[in-house]
Amino acid sequence: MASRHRRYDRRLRDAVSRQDPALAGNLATPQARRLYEMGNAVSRCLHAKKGFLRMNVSPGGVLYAKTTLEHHVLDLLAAHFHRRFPGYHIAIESGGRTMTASPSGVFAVHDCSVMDAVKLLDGGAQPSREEAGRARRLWEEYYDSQAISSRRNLRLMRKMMPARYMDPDAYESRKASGSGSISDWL
Amino acid sequence: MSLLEKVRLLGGAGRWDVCASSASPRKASSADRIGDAAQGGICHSFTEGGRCVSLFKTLMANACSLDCAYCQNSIHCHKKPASYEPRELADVFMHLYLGNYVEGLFLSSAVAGDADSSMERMLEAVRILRQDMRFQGYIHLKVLPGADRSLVKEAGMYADRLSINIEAPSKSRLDELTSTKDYGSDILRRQEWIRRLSLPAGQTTQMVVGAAGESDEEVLEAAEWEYGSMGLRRVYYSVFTPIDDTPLAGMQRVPLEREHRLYCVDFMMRKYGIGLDEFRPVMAGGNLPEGDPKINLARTAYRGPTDVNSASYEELIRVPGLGPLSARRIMDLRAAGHAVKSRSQLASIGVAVKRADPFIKVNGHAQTSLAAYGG
Repeated sequence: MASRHRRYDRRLRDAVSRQDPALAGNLATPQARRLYEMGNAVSRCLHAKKGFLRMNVSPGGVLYAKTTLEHHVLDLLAAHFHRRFPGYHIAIESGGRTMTASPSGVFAVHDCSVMDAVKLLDGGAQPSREEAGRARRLWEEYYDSQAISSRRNLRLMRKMMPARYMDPDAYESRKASGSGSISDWL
Repeated sequence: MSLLEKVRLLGGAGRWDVCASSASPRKASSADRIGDAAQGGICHSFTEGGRCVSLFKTLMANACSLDCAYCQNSIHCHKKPASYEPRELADVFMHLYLGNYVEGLFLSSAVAGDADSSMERMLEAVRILRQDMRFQGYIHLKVLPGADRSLVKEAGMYADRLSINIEAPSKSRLDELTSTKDYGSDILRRQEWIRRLSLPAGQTTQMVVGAAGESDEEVLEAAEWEYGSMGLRRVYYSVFTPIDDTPLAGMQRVPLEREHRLYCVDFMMRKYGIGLDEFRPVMAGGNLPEGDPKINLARTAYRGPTDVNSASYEELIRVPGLGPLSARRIMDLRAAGHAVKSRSQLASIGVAVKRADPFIKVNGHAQTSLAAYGG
């Protein structure tokens, strides 16, 4: 996993592989600890996106989304959604490129936006905004119902869920307007 | 009533059940399906309280005929009645699941009339999900107190996890909270039926803490019994919060810190193998004192600093800041002929050195003053 880190340096891995296996394997050297933490950071990035990436469904059965990835995990993310929804095409855009996975398990990378990829896979049909909004409205209503005011702890919430994992559209628009309240973003 | 209003009312009615686990080792059995379960579970959001939101946690209906004194859905409370049709619930859930808003379904219900008819409606919704919609993701179903055994068995066919809340640590405590549920026949007997089923994610339960005056010792004794005799995967603790219209509306809220302390001890009982008997000398009047239970335990048992290069595994895991993983790494290092040389090396291994320092000795060096413990 560490090799997928955006700042991965092969020399670090080489240095760790030359260390005593008992010391390296038990993280008893600073280099082993650094390599381990890189791997952890990648795993956390992937795990967070598995949970926080919101998908839309096109009329032709394409599950699609656009995101920003801190580390090189786009293929793993696409594979996760392909396993979860084997009957659907998957299309995920990150960094200007879109990875797709077909129901038959063929993965491909396209130099285009996710919307262009979806149009191609859907035979030119335009995804419906209304349908995309329906799940979002259900979620917002449900999410708001889960709050228990006596348990409010914004510091813990921010620790568990950094701002970048909050609803991206709300976050961007609040950031632009200068609103500093977490509860505004949700 | 609009669908969005139902989602809000019935979701809000279900929020007091604190279990958010979505972990299940069950493998999806075919390619003609929607969804699968994640071995470690996946969190999809967090509430303003820092709680994970991974499941669509909802009641099937909110108008209850039971009289539980702590509950917002009980017969005491005035509320707008709402209920889902089984297919309606399945549709809402699938919209959320396809959008990757939730990891699975957590379904409970008020007992509207009798337990069997309420459970049958829940089972119809889950049947539609599993069979008509081919959903193979995570489902946690509540078993209603008094439900028939055949319905419990059927629930076990569809669910990854089943649970029935014991709510209190004993019959006498539960009798103070409700006259419509019997601890033994309505609850424990159902737990025993669930225990005999083969469930991928097992069985859990929940207790409301502080509503009937129970001590931490009573709560933890009940938890120890549940883990040992009923084979539960988890016991959840939810501190009492007074709710308007209920008989306990005038009671004081129980501090959240009490819940944290119970979870801390529960974790040590399950993952460290530290028995409840070790915590009894720490308690005052049957209750855990303020502060971190592990630090209080270490202070009470303190007989001198623990030498990390000669202590046993059991001694190491009792040091604050040191858990099973770090202890295992230290033992493996020693087995390979390496001594731990410094505190920075301990930090690299994963020890929280600031917490551990007052209790350990490394290379012959230990903190010299107990007053240096601090918080």
